[in-house]
Order: sequence, then C-alpha cells, then structure tokens
Amino acid sequence: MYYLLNRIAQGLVVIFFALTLGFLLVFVIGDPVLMRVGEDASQEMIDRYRQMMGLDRPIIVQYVDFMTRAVQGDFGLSYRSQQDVLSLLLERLSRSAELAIPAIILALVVSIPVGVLSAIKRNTWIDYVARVLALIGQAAPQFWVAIMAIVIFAVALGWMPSSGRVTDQGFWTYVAHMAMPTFVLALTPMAYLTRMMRSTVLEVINEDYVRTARAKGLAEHRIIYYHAVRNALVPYVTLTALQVGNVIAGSMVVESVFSWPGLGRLFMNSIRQLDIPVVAGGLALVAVIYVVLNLLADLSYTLLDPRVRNK
Amino acid sequence: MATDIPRSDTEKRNAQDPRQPMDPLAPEQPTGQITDSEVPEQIIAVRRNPWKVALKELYASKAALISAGFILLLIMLALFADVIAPHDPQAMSLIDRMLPPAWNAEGDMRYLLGTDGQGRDILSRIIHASQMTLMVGLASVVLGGIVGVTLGLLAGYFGGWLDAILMRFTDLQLAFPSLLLGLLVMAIIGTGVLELVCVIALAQWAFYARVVRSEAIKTRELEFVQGAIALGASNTRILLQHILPNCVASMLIIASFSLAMAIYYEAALSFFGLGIPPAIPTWGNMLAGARDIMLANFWAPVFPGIAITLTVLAFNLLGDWARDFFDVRV
Repeated sequence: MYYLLNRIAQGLVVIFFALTLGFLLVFVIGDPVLMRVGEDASQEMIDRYRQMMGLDRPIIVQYVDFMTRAVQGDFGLSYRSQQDVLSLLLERLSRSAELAIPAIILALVVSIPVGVLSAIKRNTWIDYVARVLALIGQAAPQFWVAIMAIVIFAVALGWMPSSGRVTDQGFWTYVAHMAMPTFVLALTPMAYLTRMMRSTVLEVINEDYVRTARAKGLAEHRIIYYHAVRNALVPYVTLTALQVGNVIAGSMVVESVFSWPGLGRLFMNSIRQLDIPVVAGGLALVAVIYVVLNLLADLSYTLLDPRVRNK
Repeated sequence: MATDIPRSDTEKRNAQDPRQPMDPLAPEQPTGQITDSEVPEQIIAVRRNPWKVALKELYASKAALISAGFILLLIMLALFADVIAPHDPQAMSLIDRMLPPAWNAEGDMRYLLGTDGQGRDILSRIIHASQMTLMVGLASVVLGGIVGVTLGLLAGYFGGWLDAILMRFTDLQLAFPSLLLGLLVMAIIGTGVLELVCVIALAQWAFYARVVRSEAIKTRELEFVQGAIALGASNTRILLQHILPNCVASMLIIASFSLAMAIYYEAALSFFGLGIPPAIPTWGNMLAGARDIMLANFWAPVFPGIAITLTVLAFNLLGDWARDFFDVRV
C-alpha cells in the first residue's frame, strides 16, 4: 500500500512537471501574442491582445491561473480551430486508439511466440531469421517504412488505399485504410519486444527451477509455458508499458504520413503551427497516459509474481 | 597431473620447491624480475594492450566486425565525399528529373541510383549527406555525454538534494517521447544545425546521467575510493581519477546506442521539416523530397532510407557487442 501511494505520488510529480513545462513553453519561450497576430502587427494590436489574453499580469499569477485551469481540464481554445482543447484532444485520442490498440495487440501477439521460439531454438535458422528481422525492424525508421508501404502496396501494386480514414463506405473499406498504418505502427515495438522476450526467456531458461522441472521429467511444453514463459513475462510487462512512449512518437509519424486524423497528427500540426494551447494540453495528456500505464504495469506485477503479492 | 614432467616454469618451480607460494605475482624472488613465461595465461591477457584485446574480440564477432567496417566506410565516404561522389550533389538537371536507378530500363548510366525531383544525383547526395549525419550525430553525442556524465557523477557521488532533483528530471525526460519534445523545441527555436545538435543532446543526456550515477554510487563505496578519501584527496581528484575511469565502459556502450538514436532523430526531424534546413542534403531531407515525388519516381525514397537503416543498425550492433565485451548492464 505504501509502495502504491509512493508510486502515485511520483506519477503526480511527473504530471505536475509536465504542466509546468507546458506553461513555460507557452508563456516564456514562445510569445503567444506574436504567434497569433504575426510579426508585423502594430504595437497597439499587440498590447490589446496581450491584455485580452491576460498576459500583462505578473508571471506567477499567470502560472497559478494556468495550473488551476489545467487541473480542471481547461486548456483554453485552440488558436487555429477555436475548439475547446480538451474535447479536441479526447476526440483525436479515440481515433489514435483505433490504430494504437490493434498495433499493440499485434506487437504482443507476434513478439511473444516469436521471442520464445527464438530463445528455445537458439542458434537455429529460426532464431537467426527472427533476430535479423527484429534488428532491422528496430533500425528502420517508421517514416521510411510508411512511405515504402505506400509506394509498394498503394502505388505500385494498387492493393491498398494510400491514406486517410474512411468510415462511410462500409466496414471493410475502413479496415483497408487502417491496415497499413496499424502494421507500420506495430513494427518498432514488435521488434523491440521480440528481442526482449528472447533475452528474458534465455535468462530464465538457465535458472535452477527450470533445470529442476527438466530433471523431474516434465513435458517440454509444460516447462516452457509454466516455468520459463510465465517468469519471463514479468519484466516483459513493464517493458510493454514503457513502449507507450514509442507508440506515441510512432503515432505522430505514422498518422502524419498516412493522413490519419488522430492525436499524433494533431500534435504534429499543432507543433508546426505553434498552436500552443493544444500542445500544452497534449503534453499533459501524454504525461497522464504514461503515468497511468506505468502504474498499471506495476500493479500487474502482483498478478504475475506471487512474491510481490505476498510482500 | 598425469605426468611428472613439469610443463611450465611455474609448475617447474612448484615441483622443485613445494613450499613456494602458488601466487605467481608474490615477490618470491628478491632480485629477479617476473618474466611473462612465469605468469599464467589470464594475467598476461590483462596486461596486454586493451586495444589489441578489443580488436581481437571484435574480429571474433561477425556482426560487430561488419558493423565496424560499415562505419569506417561511412567515415571514408564523408571525408572524401568530393572525390568519391560522381556528381555535384547540388547540380540540377531538369532533363534528367526523377530518373529510376541505372539498372532499370528507363534509367541512365550516369545516375547509378537515379535522380530526385530536381534532377540531382541521388547517389552523390547520399554520399554528401553522410557528412552532416555523422557530424550532427557525433556532436550531439559528445554534448549530451558531457552534460549527462557530469551531472551523473555529481549526483551519484554527492547524493542528497542534487541527486533527488536530477532523478526527477530524468523521470520527466522518460515520460515524454523525445521525438515530441524535439519537434516542439525545434518549432519554437527555429531550425538549424546547431539547434538540432542541442535538441538531440537534450534527448540523450538523461541516459548518461542515470547510468553514470549508478556507477558512481557503486564505485564510491569501493575500498580504493574510500582509501583515497581517507588520504584526503580532493573531491575533484576522486571524481576524475578514481570514479570517472570506472564509468568509461558504460559510457562507450551508451555512446554507441546514442549515435544510432541521434542519426534516427536527425533524419526524423529533417523529414518533418523541423531539422536541418532543406537546402543542405541529409538523408531525412532527401526522404522528405522523395515523398513529394513518390508517385512519379518510387525509387527516390528507397536508397536514403536504406542508408539510414544500415547506419542505425551498425551502431546498434556495435553497441550490443560493446555491452557483451565489457559485460556491463546499462
């Protein structure tokens, strides 16, 4: 219980820092007025905007004001679309999830069996192929893989639609549009998790309890499943949670290339147009997602590892 | 021992005088020197030039050897780009726009890998771009390394509030995808080579800081450091002479992975128009340009992407090897 509270407190600190960072970006590094009215606006106009946006107040007052609003989920209006930032972010988040959740499931479904197989068939051709593919998957930049996927499957072969999110032409059209971005998004975490699964299984497989299981004549599949894989899953779960950062960064890249109207693309466009309220709100949202998922990963330890549960 | 013929000098000595200590380094001969033949194999290995040992180990690992070879080749290409590249990377030729590679039916033998949307030779641009890639990578890794190692050493050695603050900062750094922060900072401060180096360094210092900190905490408790403290050595001396050398292995490993990461970020930020200004050829800029013409020449994005992938792969493999070689977990 103490441990859990400690972790929650740490998470809150991260979120607090994220909000502060958002504030600093908005009001200290960038000049929100200049960004809105343009470089060659008259001084009078700049002053009017400054007053309208409350920027003529002392910085501490602005900071406290920003933080109190932020905690209530109020990040103001987007400079560009004049929409409420929070509802805009949440709407886009659900569209990103349409890609990200299948991508993470795909990464897990592939990486667990391939990683285990690669470890138990160590130094056979299966292992080599899996390792080489994982290494390349880790090294190949997603924006390039995305372009190549479009070039090959949409332009040259014409099998797939090249980009966009289409919802009004039936289920299968929708699936066809999301297939390539999902796969490209899954690639980097898949490669990373496969390597992790392989190395953790290799570590576990040399443990005494696996040797004991062998010595008492258990069937090989029981040894692998109950003794090796279940123990290897403990570090794997944390690493999966840590992949969230990768998936968010990947979403920015993949959604931009495939013109998928999700959070990543919103981020990318808002950063480019310096639509600061959206960026500040987005930073907070990313921090919350990261903290919550890490907390869940910590809690899942208790499910997977009875030693932690009984402490 | 099956035979009573002594095989080595050490055994001979022990056979002659069983009371002699086994420790070959013990000063049992008051005037004589210890020659190599008297020292067991393992100790000779340690005494050998560490560079030679590393080279030998590198030679034993095929993946690492090929990676090192590839990186050397890349350095050569970057150094002698003007001599090696068949064309001027900026020379446009409007008649030769968007050509496929030479082996293609519509290709042109003058342009081995084809041309881009402005009729510039892709091969020459890839070769010239390696200069910027390596320069940005190296500069950002050195900058991030200096900042991270300094902070990590101080935090690990002194502990206390400095340590607490530093760890919260690295937490924060880990909570955000560095690509997001990188794009954001570049959008605010503007694009440019120096700006990019700083942004990539910003994404990397935390890795060095974390690892060096934990090494420093471990090393601080060792006897030789405690001895140095007892002798009244200054903090600077202890940090630089005793603790820093023990962090070198982990620093090298992180540097290798960081280089891979730096090259990836340079390409990604340039690709999205927030890295190196588009006028300078880099692999990321080439991909951004290729994206616009991919319907007309789908070969254009192929080769810059392969260049990025292979370079990142080579530094990753070298990092893997270094981790095995130094046997350090980072």
